[in-house]
Amino acid sequence: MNLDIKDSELVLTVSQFLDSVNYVLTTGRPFVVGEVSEFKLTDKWVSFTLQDKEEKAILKCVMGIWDFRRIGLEIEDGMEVKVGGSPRITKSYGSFALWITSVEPVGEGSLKKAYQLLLKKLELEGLFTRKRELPDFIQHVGVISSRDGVVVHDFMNNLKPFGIKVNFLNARVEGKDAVEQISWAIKFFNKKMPELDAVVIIRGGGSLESMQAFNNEILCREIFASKIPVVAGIGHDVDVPIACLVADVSVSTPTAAANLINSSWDRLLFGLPAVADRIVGYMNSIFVNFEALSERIIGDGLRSISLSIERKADIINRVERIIKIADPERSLRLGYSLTTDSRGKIIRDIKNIKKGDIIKTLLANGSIESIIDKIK
Amino acid sequence: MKKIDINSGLKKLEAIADWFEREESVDVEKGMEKVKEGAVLIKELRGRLKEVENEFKEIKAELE
Repeated sequence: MNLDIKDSELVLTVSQFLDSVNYVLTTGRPFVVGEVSEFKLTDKWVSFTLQDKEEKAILKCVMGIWDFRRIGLEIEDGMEVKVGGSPRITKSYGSFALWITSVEPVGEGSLKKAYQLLLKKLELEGLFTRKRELPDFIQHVGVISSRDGVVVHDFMNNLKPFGIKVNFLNARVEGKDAVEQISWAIKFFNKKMPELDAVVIIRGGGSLESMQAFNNEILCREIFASKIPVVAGIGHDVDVPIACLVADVSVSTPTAAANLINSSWDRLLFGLPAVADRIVGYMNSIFVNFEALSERIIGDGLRSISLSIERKADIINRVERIIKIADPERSLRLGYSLTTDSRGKIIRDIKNIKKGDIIKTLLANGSIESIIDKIK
Repeated sequence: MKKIDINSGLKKLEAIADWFEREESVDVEKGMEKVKEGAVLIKELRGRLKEVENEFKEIKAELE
């Protein structure tokens, strides 16, 4: 390029000039507060104009869509926001804008507006309807909170001694790093400790502004994406933090979160005495039945056996008498005799013998053979 | 020595008694056999019954 210039003059091309200007501009990273107008959302960019309320002054703001999504905030015209970024002139258009990397609502009105916008959006997507039940007898939880606050101590002090294992991850619960740190902790627990019964996110109460992390889309979606049920124990006044609405169970204080975990053992605490009563009742009935059975054994059974023994003894005695009486030897010893004919048949009838027959008479100590001389 | 079974022993004993009551002509030798068999049974049964009775008394005492 041939330029007719004097040695003392600094002459730059447009591009060089804009590079120089941009170099100067980008040395600072200002924060600017203003009211949003002309908000536009495209596939690649988010743009809006920031203007002062009091004075006629406008500032074009541009942000990459991914950066905007990473912020997790809903914006619309009329909201007062604080943006941070680098001022820059786009060389191809010669347009000046603030390329922002951060944006946050300012003032209660804007905070509430952002809250309502996100609330409506996530409600339409159904993020508030999925509620998973916490398991019975919770034994292992992952707790996310700030180690600097008292809430962790409140939570731990109120956990009953059921041997519940607690893994704690420190995270900011307020400020610009809160969303990222809490989201990271949820991811960590899901990836490294999928066996956890619940992830518990706790913090104390605060203003709507201090609760911004819990009204952030990124964090809300991370809670919804958690495979482990999430318990939110976050203090609040009027507006329930949106993260609490997404969580499977929400209570308003860290102490209540501890009590909720404790209540998973209720079925054992309150159910066990009832079961114990039933067992005792059952055992009592066994003893009562046993007593009755014992009575039957001792009373009826023993009497029956005793009677049976007596009866058997009677039978033996009766048979013994019969045998004694029927004993042929006994009869012979008493002087009775048996008389048979020559064939050995007992003579019972006088008609079966005649004079001259030989008969045999059996005595106790021998026998006599005789010839019949006379029959009468 | 195998202990006599009381019930079957009693049945045998009653069969002997029946035999004597049923017989019209007394066969002395057979009658003697039955008497001897009966006497042995009676002795064994009485012994066994005594054992059972003693055992029963012990159990009864424990239960009471």
